Amino acid sequence: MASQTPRPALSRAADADLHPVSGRPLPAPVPGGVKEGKGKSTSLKPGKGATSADALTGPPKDKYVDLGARVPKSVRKRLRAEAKAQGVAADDLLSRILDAYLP
Amino acid sequence: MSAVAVLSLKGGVGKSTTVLGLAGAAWARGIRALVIDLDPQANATVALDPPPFAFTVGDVLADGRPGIAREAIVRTGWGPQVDLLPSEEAVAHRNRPEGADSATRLRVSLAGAVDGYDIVLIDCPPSLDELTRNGLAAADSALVVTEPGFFALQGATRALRAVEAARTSVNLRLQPAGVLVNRVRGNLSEHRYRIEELRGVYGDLVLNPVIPERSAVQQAQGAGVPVQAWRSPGAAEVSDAFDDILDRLLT
Ligand SMILES: Nc1ncnc2c1ncn2[C@@H]1O[C@H](COP(=O)(O)OP(=O)(O)OP(=O)(O)O)[C@@H](O)[C@H]1O
Ligand SMILES: [Mg+2]
Repeated sequence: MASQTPRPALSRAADADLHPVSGRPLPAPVPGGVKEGKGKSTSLKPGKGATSADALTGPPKDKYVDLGARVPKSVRKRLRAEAKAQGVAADDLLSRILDAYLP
Repeated sequence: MSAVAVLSLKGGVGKSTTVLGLAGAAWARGIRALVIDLDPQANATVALDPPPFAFTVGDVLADGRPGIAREAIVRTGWGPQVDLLPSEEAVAHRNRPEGADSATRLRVSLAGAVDGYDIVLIDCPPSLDELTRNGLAAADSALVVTEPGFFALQGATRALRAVEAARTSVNLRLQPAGVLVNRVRGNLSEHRYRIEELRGVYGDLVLNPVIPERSAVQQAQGAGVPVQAWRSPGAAEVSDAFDDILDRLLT
């Protein structure tokens, strides 16, 4: 059936790469292999040495630096609300989301 | 098209096996099936051996737009007859209510996306939380799976009560498709007794045939193929039983 509106594009849920219990990035790709989504892998790089134990211990400690990025106000609002709901700093949550998403 | 939610509030009784057995029966017949894996354990996803996928049912539920499920449906290793809306561990994030439309997101996301299938089989997790509620809201009927043990009657009663609760809240057209007894060893008098006990209370709602316990079920699942493709007498028995159950679901 022809549609008048453009075909909608699905995106990964904001928490799709976070473990449902620990809230930390999932260490392993889903069954079925490494995902191919818009040319990007959403799983952790094997080169990072991620193992299943990382789900409990978290990623290795890293120095925090400023990221001068502008984002829509509504996104910042949702980020702050989610960080508050999870009881973590917005910096930490954003770091986790970016770390899980980026190749 | 008929959409069937397969549930039991108890774990490990054979929900995923039933979904796979029915998808395999559709495969053997040459009709089209879509499996929706709502369980973060992703057992059905693994057994269907899909190629790498970009999105899961969790992304679909988080998005919730009409028809968006289309974007996440993938082919499977079983061939063009059986497609999959896959799951993964993180789908567990969607197992709690999120907003007023929370329980009906799957139904909305499927609108117009599943017309090409003869049957849609929804594998629910072993709990009655938001993922199962979404399964019940998106289905035309609900198939309750149980094993023929001491807790069978209690388990089936609770599951059927959940179906009725869903019918009076999120899905007025939902019908019970029946109670399917799985892992039956016909030579065990205890199993025969429990099946009679269920029939005494639920009559025709207890489906005939029952599904026998056969090692071919696990062998086929491990190999990522339909039990209907497995060559052994046990596989043939299980295949026949699922074929009869599929008939009942399609009429
Ligand atoms: N009829 C059968 N014959 C032999 N083995 C079976 C049969 N049915 C189920 N099994 C095995 O029992 C185990 C549990 O079955 P299954 O995973 O289908 O249950 P489930 O209800 O989906 O579990 P969960 O609640 O964890 O999702 C699996 O290893 C499966 O292969
Ligand atoms: Mg299961």
